[in-house]
Amino acid sequence: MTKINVVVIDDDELTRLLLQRILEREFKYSIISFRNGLEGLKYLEENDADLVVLDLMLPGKNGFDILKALRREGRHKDTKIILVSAKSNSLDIERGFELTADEYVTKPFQQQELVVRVKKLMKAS
Amino acid sequence: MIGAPTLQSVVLLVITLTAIFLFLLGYTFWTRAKKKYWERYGQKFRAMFAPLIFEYIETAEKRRDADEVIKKVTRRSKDIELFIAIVDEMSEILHGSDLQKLNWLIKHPLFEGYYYEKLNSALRNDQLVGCVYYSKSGNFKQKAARRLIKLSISNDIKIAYGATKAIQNSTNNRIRIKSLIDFFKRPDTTTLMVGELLHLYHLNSEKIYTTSEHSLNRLLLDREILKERKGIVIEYIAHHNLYEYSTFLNHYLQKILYRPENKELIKSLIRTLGILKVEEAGQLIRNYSVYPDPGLRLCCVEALNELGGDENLLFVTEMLMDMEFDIRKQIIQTLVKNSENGHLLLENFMQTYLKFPTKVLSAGTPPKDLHIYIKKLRSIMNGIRITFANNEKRQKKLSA
Repeated sequence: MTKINVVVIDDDELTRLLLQRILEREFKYSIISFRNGLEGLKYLEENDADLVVLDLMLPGKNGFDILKALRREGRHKDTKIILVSAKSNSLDIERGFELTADEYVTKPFQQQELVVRVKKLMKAS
Repeated sequence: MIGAPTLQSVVLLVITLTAIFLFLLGYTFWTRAKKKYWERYGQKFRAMFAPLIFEYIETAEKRRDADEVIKKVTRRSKDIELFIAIVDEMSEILHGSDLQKLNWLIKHPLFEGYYYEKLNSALRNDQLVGCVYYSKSGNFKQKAARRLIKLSISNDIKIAYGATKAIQNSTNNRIRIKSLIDFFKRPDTTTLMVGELLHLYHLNSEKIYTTSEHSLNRLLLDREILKERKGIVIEYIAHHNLYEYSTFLNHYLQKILYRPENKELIKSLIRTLGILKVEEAGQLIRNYSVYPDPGLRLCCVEALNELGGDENLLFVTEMLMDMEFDIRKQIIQTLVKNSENGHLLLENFMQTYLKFPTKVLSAGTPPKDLHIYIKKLRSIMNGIRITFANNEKRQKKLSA
């Protein structure tokens, strides 16, 4: 079975560590993480990913811009994208889904909540 | 020629200055090295403890499980503060039962004892650190409570603010509202502080009924609290849609006298009654809409539109002939936004007055007063057309 590749882009060190732990522990995914939007996008332009977990407020390039850029590219047309953000504003959530994000998780969250959402999302693919 | 004593003085001065320079240079390097050392120490501490805490969250089942992690924290004050900082950051990310487990760590006796000492210290910075801990941890035990109450009336605004914030964790509403009132009475309180404290008061409590002596009514009825702060309380009620205050606010508006010093408070009340859709306030707001202050009339237009209903909207349409351009503009914008009744009322207005200017002008040169009236009428008609057109453009843009 091929290993699922996940890219985590979040500038907060603890959130990155937490996401990495959850995804490795629960799903045994292979994870690579970035703290900067530009670095993450550069990596994704050259590499495939099955799942991208993306923070909205990022230095360099914000999450919405990265999401738009990824969907423009053929390579990531079908990549599952989860937005993770402290912004619980309904307009931001709406905008995320308009830009074809697959899931939106607001911080703070419970670990189990993220597990269920990822499970559901990856099962659907 | 320089005499011997003068030369000696110069040499002494040069030596002194060199010594001071060397001391300052050494001190700068030493503080930099110290800072770098603690930064590296902090990074190492984080790298070690963050995974440990996450592991604890994944496995812990009972409060006592927190001891295992805390055992690894030495009693050094730096370690305690670094540990609490990590846990605090994590509590911004995690929720539910995960957050509960973080609370077991925060409320551990080791930290409670440490921060209690800080709270009791004579040093300002220590007191502040103690207040921050007690406001974030939600801990409110009796021994700390006494000290926090004392600090909440400190002359130092930052300490008083920190202590009042911490007191908002108490389950005793009497203590909480009392500290809030004391703080709001201070002359040096800022709007942001008032807003945050109100939020904590509201958030950290079970529903407090408006009939209770601990409700926000007390802040509004206290004569010593500045009117501008009462205005913030009223706006807060509107912003959070606290409908339970509707009746009280309506009575408050009925009782308040129209005086220059009460104007802003009256505006806040009218805005809030509109947002809360207190229909019973309609008549009173309509009465206020004919007062001379244009700002007050604008508030009334907005509130009456929020209240809706035929009577209020018809009244707003009649106000279209208001002398102030800004108010006429606001009324048109308000009615255009209200796509059902508002549009109908504006169309009726147009139909009623459309031919009036032409009729008057065709009968000859009108008197000066009537000429001004016609000019105003035309300006209103044009305003309505422009606002409708802009609204249509905006709608098209949105649907595109």
